Amino acid sequence: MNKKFSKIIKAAIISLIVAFLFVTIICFTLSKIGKEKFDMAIYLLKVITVNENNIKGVEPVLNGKVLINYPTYGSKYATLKIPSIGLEQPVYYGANYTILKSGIAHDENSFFPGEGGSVILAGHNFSSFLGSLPKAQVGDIINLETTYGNFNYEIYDTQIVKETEVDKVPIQEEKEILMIYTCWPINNIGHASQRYVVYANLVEE
Amino acid sequence: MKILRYVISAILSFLIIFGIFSLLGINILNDKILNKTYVKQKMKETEFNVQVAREVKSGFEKYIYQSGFPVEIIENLFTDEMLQNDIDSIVDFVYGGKEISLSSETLRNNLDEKIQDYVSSQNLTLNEQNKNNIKKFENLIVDEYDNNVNISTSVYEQANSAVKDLDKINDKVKNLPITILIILIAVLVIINIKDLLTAINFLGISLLSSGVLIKIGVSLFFSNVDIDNIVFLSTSISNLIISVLKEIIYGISDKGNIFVVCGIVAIIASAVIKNIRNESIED
Repeated sequence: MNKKFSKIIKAAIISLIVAFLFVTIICFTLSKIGKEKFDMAIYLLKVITVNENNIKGVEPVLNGKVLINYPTYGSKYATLKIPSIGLEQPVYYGANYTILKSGIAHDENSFFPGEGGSVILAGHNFSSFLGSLPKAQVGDIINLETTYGNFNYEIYDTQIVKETEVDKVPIQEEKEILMIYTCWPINNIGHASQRYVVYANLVEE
Repeated sequence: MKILRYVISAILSFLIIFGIFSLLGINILNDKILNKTYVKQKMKETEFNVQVAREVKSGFEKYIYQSGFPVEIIENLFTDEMLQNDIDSIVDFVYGGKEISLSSETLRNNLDEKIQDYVSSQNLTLNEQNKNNIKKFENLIVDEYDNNVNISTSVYEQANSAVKDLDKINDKVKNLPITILIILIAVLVIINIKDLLTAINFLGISLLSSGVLIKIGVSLFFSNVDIDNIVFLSTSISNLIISVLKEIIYGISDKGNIFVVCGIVAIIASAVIKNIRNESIED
């Protein structure tokens, strides 16, 4: 009985070894011939894969002029206050239309407060958002209370620009300025092709 | 002679693995990727049109809040039927090259009518600048609809060209894998005609190897790709790709399981039967 059983086991093991050999040969050949293509396919799939869980839950910290751990895209990280006109609005990181429905959007291509470059904020021109922005005067103080510090800016200029004049809202690295813009005119009908921009210098960190 | 027969059987068994993979590939191509009905069914399952409608409406919101019009102006500008026809038109373009025709003008007329009603109801007097701004607003809303429904003409053109190429390849080689597979199995059986259990054993080895290779491939795929978080062009298209990809991968994985089980059964069964037969000959 044992002899009979061991013969069956022996035959099965030989077959399994042959199968294992086939798998090894094919895997080895594919890894030599098709590795680059396989890696490229995996890379492309990884490029179009987003996992938001990996970037949640880390608080930003300002170290000198370097912000460590940026806020999560779409999260509220600051409050914008202009006491002279009674404006107080939440600021969200990123500028898309869902964010603009909730409050003030921080252009993700601009710097964060405290990083030493242009900080660009935008919001709708309703009275509940930035509708009162044109009432702010040169010399008024703008306060940005972030989760990592408070920043005060003083308005030095206001301008009405065309939506296409992107150079009027420049990104600069040398000096920290705050630019806040909204659609203009405030009570427009149809597409608003102008923007009301407020420019402010950092005065206190 | 017996060794030569075993060597040839092993080579055939090795080639059968490639036959099995070619057959799997051609099946996926025919049943899934090149099958317009399947893709449309998947679009229905993933509620493609509902998602596109959501994306279009969200796109409209870009312009409504700065337009001075109430939100109602952009509501019900298009019907589900209109959107479905437009989506069908894109699928027809990808799979048949038929020109894309969207209901943009119907949408423009609906919007214009609503704006005129609003202007009359509010007794607004429009100057030239207002009229130009309204025209611009209408153009932006229509463009938004077009861009959200027809997300990327260039991608759809590339998809159409890929479908054409795959169709050509498919027409040429459609029956080749099954023919080759039948020939290989037939030769394996013929050279082992006096000992069919050996043929079954080698067939089992092919199935087991194919199954193991599939399982390795699937594991490699899942360890490298987070399939649920694939984002491509838009949420509607991403959901469709994820759904199709999952069905293909899980389908292959199930086949892998079947191959492994069948392979092991064939190997053990042939060994057992061979042993019983040898014993009865000895007796």
